[in-house]
Amino acid sequence: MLVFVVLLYAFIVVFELLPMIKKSRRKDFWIYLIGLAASFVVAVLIGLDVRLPSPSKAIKNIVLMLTGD
Amino acid sequence: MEKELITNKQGIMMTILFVLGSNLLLGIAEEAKRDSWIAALLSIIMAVPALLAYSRILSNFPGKNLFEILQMVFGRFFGGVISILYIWYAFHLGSLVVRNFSEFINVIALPETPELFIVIVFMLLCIWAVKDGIELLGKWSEFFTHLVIFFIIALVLLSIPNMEINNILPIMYNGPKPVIKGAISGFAFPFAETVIFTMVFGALKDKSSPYRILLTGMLVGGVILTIVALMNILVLGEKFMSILYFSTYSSIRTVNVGGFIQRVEGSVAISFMIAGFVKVCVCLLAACKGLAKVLKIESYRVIVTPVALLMAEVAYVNYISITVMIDWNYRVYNIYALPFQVLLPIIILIGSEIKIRRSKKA
Repeated sequence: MLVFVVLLYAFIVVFELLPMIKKSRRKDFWIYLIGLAASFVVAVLIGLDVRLPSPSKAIKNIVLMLTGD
Repeated sequence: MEKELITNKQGIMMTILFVLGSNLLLGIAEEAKRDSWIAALLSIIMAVPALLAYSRILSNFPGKNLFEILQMVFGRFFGGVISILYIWYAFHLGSLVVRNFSEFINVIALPETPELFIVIVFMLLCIWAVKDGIELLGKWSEFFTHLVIFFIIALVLLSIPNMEINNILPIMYNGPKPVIKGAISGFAFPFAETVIFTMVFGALKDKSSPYRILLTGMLVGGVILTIVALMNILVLGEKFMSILYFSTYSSIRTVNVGGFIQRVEGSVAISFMIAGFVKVCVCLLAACKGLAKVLKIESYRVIVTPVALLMAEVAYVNYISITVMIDWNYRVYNIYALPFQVLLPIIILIGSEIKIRRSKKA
């Protein structure tokens, strides 16, 4: 599972990030890199079966709090 | 920013597939149970004012999408704040739809495959489509909508032998309350979700285009969903409908014409996936366009991959299981979507009308 995640990101780095270093502006590149790094961290955590906070659960708690269910 | 033009017809086709999206899979207004077809019709009527509002916002500022309109009307700071809210809504909606479809594939086709794989493969295709832009989505939708509608109508007709008219009687036995609840649910999911299109329709043909695209798309999609809801009730009956997760799929499974045309649920599953694919692509496109505007990037194509991967991960993390997903859809989504579908558009509409009047006077 983890191997798959790492392979996928290696694939993305090779096919998208490297061409981007030569082509794009610095700002685009940095934003892309930060986004990719964040998603990589989350993907690795998912691959390691870590239980991550769910946005839907947070929204559910807010909504139920407001409607007093 | 590149000019991306889509014709009215392509816009209508995209809207139809978007509206069909997850509802073809999960059913519409199922709280109303036996009367869900009445609730669906009611929700179409309820959604017309909302869609008129979205179209008005778009046609007041021709050639601009919602994020540009927000900045023009509310200034950079407040425009940015509302933009971030809408980016979140588009992003989260996309992740919900991805999760709906990965659950579908998981339950009926690939139960042993880890869901993360399904989600990522799905998203890779969406990344590819969105990177090629809205024109690609428009042309693709123009072709595939015909296929989807053909399959759905053909299979509805083929399932007529399995229909039992008593399943729909007595009409409105439980009174108007479940119907109204169902209508509100149908309004929020899927009709008023077309607010996502305000973020995506940057360049349309003329001023009346948004009206034509959104209203026609919604009406056609809504009528198809009502027909499907009717089919589900007539074929399955109220009891089974409330137990099954995927009512349409289950009712299509009963199609058996002369022992020859049977086990056709594969073709309808493909239709579901096509509709869901377009819905996710539109949500992804909206989120990327918004982020590009807020982060002041030249083209949204740059951030498609990170946003899509994050969407896939949020999709995976959103719910533990399918029962949590269904429960969330019923209990939470209507209220959660209310600000994005009703409250904020009203504020934006008022703001844009004031802005238009002021600039006319000046």
